[in-house]
Amino acid sequence: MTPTKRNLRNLIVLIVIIVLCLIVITVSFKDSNLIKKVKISTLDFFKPIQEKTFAFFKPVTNLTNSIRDFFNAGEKLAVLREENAALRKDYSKNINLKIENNALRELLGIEIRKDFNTVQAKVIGFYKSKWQSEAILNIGRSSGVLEGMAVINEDGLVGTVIFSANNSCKVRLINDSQSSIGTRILSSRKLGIIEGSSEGKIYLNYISAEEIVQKGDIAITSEFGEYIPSEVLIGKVKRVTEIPGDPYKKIEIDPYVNFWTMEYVLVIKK
Amino acid sequence: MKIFLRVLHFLLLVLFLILQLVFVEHLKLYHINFDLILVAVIGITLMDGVLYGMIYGFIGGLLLDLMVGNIVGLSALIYVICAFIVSRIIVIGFKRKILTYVFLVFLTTELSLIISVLFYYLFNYSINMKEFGLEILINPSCNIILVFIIFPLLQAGGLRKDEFGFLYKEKA
Repeated sequence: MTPTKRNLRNLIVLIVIIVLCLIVITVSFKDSNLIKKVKISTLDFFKPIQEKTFAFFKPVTNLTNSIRDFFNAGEKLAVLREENAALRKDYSKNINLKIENNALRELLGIEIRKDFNTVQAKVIGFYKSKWQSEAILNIGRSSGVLEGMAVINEDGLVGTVIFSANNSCKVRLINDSQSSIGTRILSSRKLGIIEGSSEGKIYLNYISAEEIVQKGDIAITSEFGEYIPSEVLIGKVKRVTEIPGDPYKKIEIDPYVNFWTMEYVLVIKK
Repeated sequence: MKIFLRVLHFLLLVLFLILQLVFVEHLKLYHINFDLILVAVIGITLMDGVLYGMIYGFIGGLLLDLMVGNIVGLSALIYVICAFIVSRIIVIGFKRKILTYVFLVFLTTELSLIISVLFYYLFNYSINMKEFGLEILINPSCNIILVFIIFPLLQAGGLRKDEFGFLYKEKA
């Protein structure tokens, strides 16, 4: 083939592929079933390979996570010491309150909170960019996992399922810029919405500038979520900023969950 | 031999895709960000030609988007455009040596960042200019480091004359 013909062929292939990409982008943005089916097949096909590779690279990822922890260790230790002292102070008081609370509930016939119906899952992949922060789990529709379900671990809320294939699912982490979850401040009972951001930080929005919010206040999920149960720990207030002229406070939340070191999570079924 | 190499390159591309999801994401410390697939697509374009670069870029990008992407088809589009631009630059007359590859990776990384920001802006996502500025500075350097790992892997099994200028010069 002559160079001119080869160039022409390459140009035609480029145009065809660009047109194909633009069609795929348009179709996918319209939430088409076809794209959804292809996504399910792709996730299911790659799940076993992904699971094995994730296990294979676990020692290396542990090492990188340790390096990350090493740099934050000093600051973390000081915070934990402070927190430990406060917790120790409240411990006996809380036990007494719990006993009293249970006794009063029984007396009034109010049901004691039930445990969640959960299913355990293993993290087999991550993806983080400016616009998304997602994890891939090794369970899907075959285990009863559906879109919208909440994902937690021992530390608190991890995120929500946004896409469920047959044997794997994608979880939108709470620091994703598209994540938006109803929240309550534990001490003041004020309602707000926690939202992720492109820099990976979490903000508690729509809290009036007149409200008193302090550093260290705990944020939990509100009771208005369809799939997300109430009173799941999210994080604590890291920084409160007041912007002149803004009717709302800017509140940064420090999540309890370390997204990059988690291995096992629980998906809460409705 | 050529068919074997092309199949091998495709398998490597799939391997890089898996590695991107299970391993590279953990290395994302302080804006450090590697794009294995982009560097692999550039390598394939240089070794197998622009046609294979574009096709593999399309497949790799589409698979990445189907697995984790917000906008399905965007990565595919970016990788295809990058493969084509790499081929055009080589045709202009750049020599096949390591400095050229570093320049190509730098250029395509910047280009891919700009295209993705433009698309996300069109799709009404918020853009943080400070973050974007940092990415423009850091991402190319990370991908340039990958050239020294991925390119020799891609040329494994190839003929000595096809090598990228990393190893030996033929004795006169």
